[in-house]
Amino acid sequence: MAGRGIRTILLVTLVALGSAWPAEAQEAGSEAASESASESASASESASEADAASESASETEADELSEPGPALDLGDEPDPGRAPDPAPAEGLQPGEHPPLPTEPPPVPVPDLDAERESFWGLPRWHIAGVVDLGFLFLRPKFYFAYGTPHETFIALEVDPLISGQGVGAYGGLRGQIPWGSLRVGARYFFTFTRSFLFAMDQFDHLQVRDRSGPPSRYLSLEAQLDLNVPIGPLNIVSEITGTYVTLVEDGLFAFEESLHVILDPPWVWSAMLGLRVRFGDAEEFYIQPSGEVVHLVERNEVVVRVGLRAGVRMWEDLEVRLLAMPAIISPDSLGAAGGDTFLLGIHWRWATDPFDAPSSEEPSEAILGP
Amino acid sequence: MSLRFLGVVLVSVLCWSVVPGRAAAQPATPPALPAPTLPEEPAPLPAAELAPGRAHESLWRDEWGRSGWPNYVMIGSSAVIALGNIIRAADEERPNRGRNDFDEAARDALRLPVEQQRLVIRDFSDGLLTLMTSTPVLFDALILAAWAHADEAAAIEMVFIHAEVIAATLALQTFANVAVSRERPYGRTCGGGGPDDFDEDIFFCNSPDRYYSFFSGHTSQAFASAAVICSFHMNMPLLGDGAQNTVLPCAAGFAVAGMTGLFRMLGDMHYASDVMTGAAVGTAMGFLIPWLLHFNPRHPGEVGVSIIPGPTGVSLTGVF
Repeated sequence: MAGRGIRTILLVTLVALGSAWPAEAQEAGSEAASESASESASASESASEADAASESASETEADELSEPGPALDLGDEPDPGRAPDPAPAEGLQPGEHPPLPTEPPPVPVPDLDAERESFWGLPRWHIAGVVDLGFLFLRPKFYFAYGTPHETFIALEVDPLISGQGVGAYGGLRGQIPWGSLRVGARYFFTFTRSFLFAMDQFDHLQVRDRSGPPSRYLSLEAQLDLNVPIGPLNIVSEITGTYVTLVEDGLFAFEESLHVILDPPWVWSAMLGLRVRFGDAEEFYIQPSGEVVHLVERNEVVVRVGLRAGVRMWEDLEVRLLAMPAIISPDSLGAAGGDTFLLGIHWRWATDPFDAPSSEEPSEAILGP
Repeated sequence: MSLRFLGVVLVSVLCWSVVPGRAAAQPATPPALPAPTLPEEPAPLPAAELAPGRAHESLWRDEWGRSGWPNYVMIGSSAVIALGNIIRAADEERPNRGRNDFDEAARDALRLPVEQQRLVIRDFSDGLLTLMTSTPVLFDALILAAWAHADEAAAIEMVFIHAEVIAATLALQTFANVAVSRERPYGRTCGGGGPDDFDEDIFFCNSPDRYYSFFSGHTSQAFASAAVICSFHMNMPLLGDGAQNTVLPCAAGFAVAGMTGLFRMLGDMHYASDVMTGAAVGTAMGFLIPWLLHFNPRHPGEVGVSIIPGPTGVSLTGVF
């Protein structure tokens, strides 16, 4: 994990250098170009003056030498097999060569900005992941994907689920674009500390941990659509999820670990809407008031959660995040178990095969030419 | 309790694995670029690459002790001791149900009357504990030191200091929990039959956690974290120079820690003496460990001191 983090940080460093280097070099190059242009202009002026002086001197010599001497073999004889030499440049006499530049030509700098579209590099096959870690939760995700990591890709997603309540895994397909994502998949969870619940109108935090029923093991089939639409400094954030819970015995209820609700299987859907406000010099801070509705279809009940998400994006791949979404309306009294009541931790993204900036020892094709 | 221990280890390990990646990879200054057309002075990074107020200044003084293998051993041994205490569990056969006038008077005054209210306040105490234990790592080390001050080395040291304090405090607290095996205040309501009493069979009454009242883990960890926050801000200008940038974080930290302890009594999870002991132990650990092992200025050849919790207490070791 640290090795991938180092590669990612190297990417950050290379990108930072790349963002500075072309700007500097372009500025310097343009300055140098203007300087060299002015210098070459002044050099050509002085060269033309020297040419004029030498021309007059040669005319004087020609007048003095009435008989032409033997031709000097300067290799100027045309080679029958060689293409004729191009016509001399304007203003130059045959056999004369343009004056040598006094300064080396400016080195063309590759336009890295054109190539470096994303912090995460160019589209490619890759493995990427996300880790949400805090006190007390660990939620890793793994993507086996093609595209630009974490931006535009299609992936096979695998999420191991490990908590104090049990273990499980999620697997499915995910397609993501900068403005949203769609995922479909299945989640299986095996609970240590809970069992299926006998049907009741209302549950409390003690009854939800009742273990007198059959052990809770269920399969959820899920589909989720996320949208994140930027409007100036704001983002409209929404999330719609449909879930079909199966493998639950008839007549029993189940506590769904990802939605934090007690449901009468099989159907449950949820919708979240938030308004993200970004601020800071690089819009690295954000606050997002949000509301969420969970409809327990078979129980004909709704759970309403209202709260706040906030974060600091310190680097492109690392954020500190806060999530506080307690349930304010619910048929049950589950306390903190009824939602992500207060989560504080880091959100770290990583990907394999970081962007390879051109090496200084190997000039790119842009410099050498095709 | 076992989850808390797991969380401490995971947070410390992951922060330890993430932050060094940045310390290893991010250069303090951009490397010089060869080209005759480049300006002589290396250009600063664009503003978008820098956090507000970011500066390349070192927070860590050379005379302070850096973390090394003795510190890692301390963290590891403390974690093992805590795990051993958790596995050993409380003595449910012969619990300590000792009561005293002070604790009874405090309970009568503070305990919330309705179980639903006590549930809510217990959840709030969990939230405050999360906030307190996360602040030294997420805010002081990661956001302020590593990001705002671009001092990843200091951030790493801060993470290890916090891990030392949390692990040592947890070792002592779990040892006390098991050794004393004091019943929590709500334990007297198990099987009481009243409208607000618990059934004897529910997990609340039917687990070793019922006898972990002395001393309060939430309070000791919260006060330990508050003391660590205070130590950081007293020794390093994380929020800038000025007395207010030291006093305010200290005051806020201890205020939140005090609320955590109060909520534990309101939720009928601890007696007043449990909370006060936890506060004292946590504060002591949170100040002593950073000072003895790190912030105590030392010179080459000076003695080194280590605090290592043991099965029966704490040992103080000096190296000459």
